Amino acid sequence: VIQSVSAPGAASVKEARSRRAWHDHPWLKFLARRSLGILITLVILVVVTFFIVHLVPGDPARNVVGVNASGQEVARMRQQLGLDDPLSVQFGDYIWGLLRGNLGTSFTQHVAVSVIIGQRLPFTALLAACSLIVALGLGIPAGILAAAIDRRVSWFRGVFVAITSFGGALPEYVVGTGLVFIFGLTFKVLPTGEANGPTSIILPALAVGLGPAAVFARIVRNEVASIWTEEYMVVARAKRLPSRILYLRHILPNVVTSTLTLGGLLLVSLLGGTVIAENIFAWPGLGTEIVQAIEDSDYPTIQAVILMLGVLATAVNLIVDVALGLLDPRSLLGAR
Amino acid sequence: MANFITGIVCPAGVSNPTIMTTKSEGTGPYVLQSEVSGSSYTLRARKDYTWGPKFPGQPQGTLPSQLVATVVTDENAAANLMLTRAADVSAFQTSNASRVDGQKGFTATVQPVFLTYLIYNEAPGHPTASQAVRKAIAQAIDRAALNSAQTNGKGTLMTSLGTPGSTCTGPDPQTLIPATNTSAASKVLKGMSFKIIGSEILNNGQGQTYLQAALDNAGANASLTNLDNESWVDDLNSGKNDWDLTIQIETNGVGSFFTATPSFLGPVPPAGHNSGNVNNAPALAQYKKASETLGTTQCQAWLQMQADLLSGNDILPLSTAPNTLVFDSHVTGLGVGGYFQPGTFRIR
Repeated sequence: VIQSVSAPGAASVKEARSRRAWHDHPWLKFLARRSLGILITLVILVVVTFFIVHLVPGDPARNVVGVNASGQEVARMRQQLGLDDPLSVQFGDYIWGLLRGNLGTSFTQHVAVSVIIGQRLPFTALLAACSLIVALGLGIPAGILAAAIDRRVSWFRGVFVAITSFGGALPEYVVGTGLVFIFGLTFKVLPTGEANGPTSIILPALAVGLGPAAVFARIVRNEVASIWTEEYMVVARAKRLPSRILYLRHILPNVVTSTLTLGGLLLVSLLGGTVIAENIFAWPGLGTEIVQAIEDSDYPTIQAVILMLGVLATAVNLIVDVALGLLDPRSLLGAR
Repeated sequence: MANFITGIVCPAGVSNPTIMTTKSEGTGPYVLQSEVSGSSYTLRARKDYTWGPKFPGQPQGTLPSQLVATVVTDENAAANLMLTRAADVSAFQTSNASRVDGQKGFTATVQPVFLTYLIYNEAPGHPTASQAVRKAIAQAIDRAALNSAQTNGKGTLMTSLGTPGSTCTGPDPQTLIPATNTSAASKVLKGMSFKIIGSEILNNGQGQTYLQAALDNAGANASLTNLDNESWVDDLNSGKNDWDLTIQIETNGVGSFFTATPSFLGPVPPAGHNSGNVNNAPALAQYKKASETLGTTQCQAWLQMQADLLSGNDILPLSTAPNTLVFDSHVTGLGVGGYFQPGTFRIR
């Protein structure tokens, strides 16, 4: 019995193919590219943030020693904070600190910035996550429902588009103020601020999430309307499958891909919305911290908070891309 | 614990300054129990506390066993917390005070926290180096209208340079404050240009906006740059002298007679705080005398310094800017100089 026949050099061709297959694996290529992209993004973020904070008006040293301090005291504080060093030296110190995991010490609070981040990041992450739940939890069902009604009621589309356009255009501070007025001050059913108990998150999450929910609803409605005319849907409908099966088995999974892509982008924009909402609701997250830090020209805190928000945003994008890759491997090809 | 106004540090902090950022020390009625830096601070009452100042008018009641101080920078949010009973005590500088003050179940005290003055830049080359121009500017201003703009009318018009309630009183200095006279002001100011800078700390800089309008109304051409407070302080102390007029804002925390005097007499920036470059030798001599004496002699020197500055049109006292201290009905307490004294808080 001849088990195998090998032409001269065949083994090395196999190995080469195997090696090429290993290198050509779409996931590896995808992850390598994304990692490189994240690295470049973070480097740009670090460099730009460092130089931008130095454009913030006001002298941090003056802020630390107080308005009545003498010029000599201000100069002494500038030296102590390292602000009289050339910008290149300050930048070098900052990068060296980052490489060692040292985000610096807050000029005004006199504690390690990592401590401040550690205390505040969980609140911002919680708010962003709850806001995304609001955006997806309301937006997807509303979009699917709207598509269903749309086919039966001719005038509904115009009303739906008007409402969702209006809702999507409302800024967080308008939505937040309205929610406070209705649910906090008028009916007194929900707390208007601070992080005291699970109900405290409801109004801030709605303030951040309702606008994106409206945008989501519109996009999902359009997606569903487009899927409805696909051949596989025509076949499914011809089989007279129940609506539940039509929507849950055939429509929802096909809506998820586009929704997830948008969800990633929206979560990044939600992080911006949290900054505003946190200040409206006195929510003790990074948003209130960065506003105060900018007012105080607290360079290390500003730099660290922006870096953290940037890391959060890139991490979310990565997770979304990975999830998309798992759900729809064609997206990996698109990432090439 | 260090006092931010007086700069007094307890002995433990003096011997080891690093502990001031890591633990609670000192002799106050409360000790720090926990903190989230820049966000919230929980204080626990000392059980053995029997010393400390006896404030006149100390309200009766039970000393709170715990105080939770939350940093809320947006006064809208602070008013919301008060109105929903999520906070018991809060201070307001903006019109948000009116959302709470006067509402059923709240008591409010209005106390001056800032004193405001119009400062002219008298450095050579500035139009305000001329006394005639300075007097005309003062005549162009309706101080009551300016008070409405910068404090929503909650401030009190200042009748002297000194802290309201000071025991050092003399002849009414108001006679030295030019009365509003727009037509007289116009004769001098018409066609002149002025550069105003100011801080947004009081009502978003509406006082400066009024000042600009008043000068324009008198025929002058005034430009305005409102800055955040820190940038404004930087500019004044830089010695750049890139402005002609500003509204000086001084804290009233210590309660001394002339807390603001170094801001309009003595060394000019960057060495000192005399940002208006006021060179009034008689007033400076009286300032030095007041600094070296006590009692009646000191008081007379202060009053003469005030008369010299006002008659030279080197400064124009404007109004106080208050803090409105609001308590929920079940809590009471005192404020001094516009700031809460947490040791006086009592539960009714």
